[in-house]
Amino acid sequence: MATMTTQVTRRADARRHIVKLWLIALLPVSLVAIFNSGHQYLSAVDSNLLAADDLRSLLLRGLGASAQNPGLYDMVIVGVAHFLPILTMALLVGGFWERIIADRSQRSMEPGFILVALLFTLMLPGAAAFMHVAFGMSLAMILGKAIFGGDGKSFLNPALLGVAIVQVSFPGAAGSHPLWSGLAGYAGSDAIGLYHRGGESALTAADMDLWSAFIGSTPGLMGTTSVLAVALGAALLLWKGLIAWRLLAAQMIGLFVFAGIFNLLGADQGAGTMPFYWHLLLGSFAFGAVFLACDPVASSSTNPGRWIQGFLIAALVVLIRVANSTHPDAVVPALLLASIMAPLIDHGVIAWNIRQRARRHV
Amino acid sequence: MQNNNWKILTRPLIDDNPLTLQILGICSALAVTTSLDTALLMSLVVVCVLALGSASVSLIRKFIPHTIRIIVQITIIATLVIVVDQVLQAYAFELSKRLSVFVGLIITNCIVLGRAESYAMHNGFVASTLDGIGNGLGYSLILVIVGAIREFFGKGSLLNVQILIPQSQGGSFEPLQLMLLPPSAFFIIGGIIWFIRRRRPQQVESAEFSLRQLEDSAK
Repeated sequence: MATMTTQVTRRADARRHIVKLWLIALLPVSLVAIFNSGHQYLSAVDSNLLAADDLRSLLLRGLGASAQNPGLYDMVIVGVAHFLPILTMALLVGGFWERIIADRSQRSMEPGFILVALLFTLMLPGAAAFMHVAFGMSLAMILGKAIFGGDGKSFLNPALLGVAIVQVSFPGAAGSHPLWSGLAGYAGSDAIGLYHRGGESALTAADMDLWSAFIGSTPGLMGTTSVLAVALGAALLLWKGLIAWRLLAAQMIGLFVFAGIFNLLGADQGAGTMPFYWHLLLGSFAFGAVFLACDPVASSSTNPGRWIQGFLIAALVVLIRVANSTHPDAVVPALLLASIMAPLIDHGVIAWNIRQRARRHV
Repeated sequence: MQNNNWKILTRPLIDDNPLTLQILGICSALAVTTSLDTALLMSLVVVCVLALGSASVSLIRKFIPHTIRIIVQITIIATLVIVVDQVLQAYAFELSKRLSVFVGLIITNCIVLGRAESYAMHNGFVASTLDGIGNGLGYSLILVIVGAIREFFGKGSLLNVQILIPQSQGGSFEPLQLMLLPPSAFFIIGGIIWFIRRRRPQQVESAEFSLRQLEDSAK
């Protein structure tokens, strides 16, 4: 914590500082989430959908948004109109539960729930219903924060748990298909699903290339489309020492290796033919690898353990993507499983280390 | 004596519940509770097997050679389960299809063998029968609660009577897929255990280890 000027810091202050840094790291992703939500909505719906009678369309019409030749202004306000209500809902629900949990355990409210709410929002599709947001966020706070943990003690990242529960509970609506299916009138598909069925030509047909996937103007879960924005956030977190570089490196190398293995096995079609860069660029792997997998509490805390866990995540993501076309994104289940394995991995590493040291001194 | 028998019957309901205190029989509790009717039928079957099994073992407990007692108990239980399974297939074929292998698996249900080995081998006929019924009812109580919650939130119905109209039929209720998957039973049973232990703190197990608390000046 090089930025702290005083030596004497209260624990609560340190926590607040860390949460602040994480929020700053999530800023680029959030901005992309807003732009891309607007971009996707406006390019997906036909122009008269803004003429609908719901509150959001009414508001957007009032602000002068138009789906004909949409400009930057249209994109931003449409994006805000999708992103902000979900985030507000998550914050309200999260704050409500934090208040209750804090009261019950007789402590003051801590800012961790803001981070959970933002991460949770970024992992949802822009079309997520309020009911789903409230449900997922409630369980994230109750199960993830109150029952199994509390700050610094949780064995799963609460936001990840919330997303997983939403994906499992409402598979059609918000779920494992990171697409915009909730939008009325648009039956698009997610990028990995497209690749699964039609290979790279299907992506080209849907106007997706390496560059658009890199800057994040592709359909997907709100905050996860842009590898560029994720990389900016990752750079800040790595610089401040808030995430373990070994875990991150292991995931990237693992992705390269395991995608390569499946490429060499010579599948004819499907995600087995997907090269590693598409694995990284499409879906929510990059976002999950940086912001969810590297949760400082719920990941391995030994250095060899970090390498093992990183490889495990990459292997699971590639394997599920290749083997199970109904679960095209695969990042959430892979992260959950790897997170649960973390204490076991650490236990094994420590036991191995003790044995090595004992052997050296016999 | 009357009072004592009543205690044997009711203790397993909450104070000594086989599912929530002894954590036995979880497997079938996850598998048959997707709807209330299968949960009820399974409960009925387990109560019958437990009562008859404990009663039979208790009756012949003095003639069972100690070294082969488990084999004898299993034989009795397996016979009962097979009879019950045949009766179900004869009179409630559709439901027995949905219970599938889980009727047969009652043989391996730890509650049945556990009560036979730990209680019926040492106690008289009446007490053993009541103990069997009590444990069966304790198991049933949890099963019915879990089954009701899962069917209500997963399908919007109870006992196949539609209470909430799902969105697919023009209503406003959105079925919770999670409730139809086995993990949800874990969550619900966990919640029930938590609730019971808050009310009955003597059931709380002592912690195997404690986390070191650092001073926290956040207050």
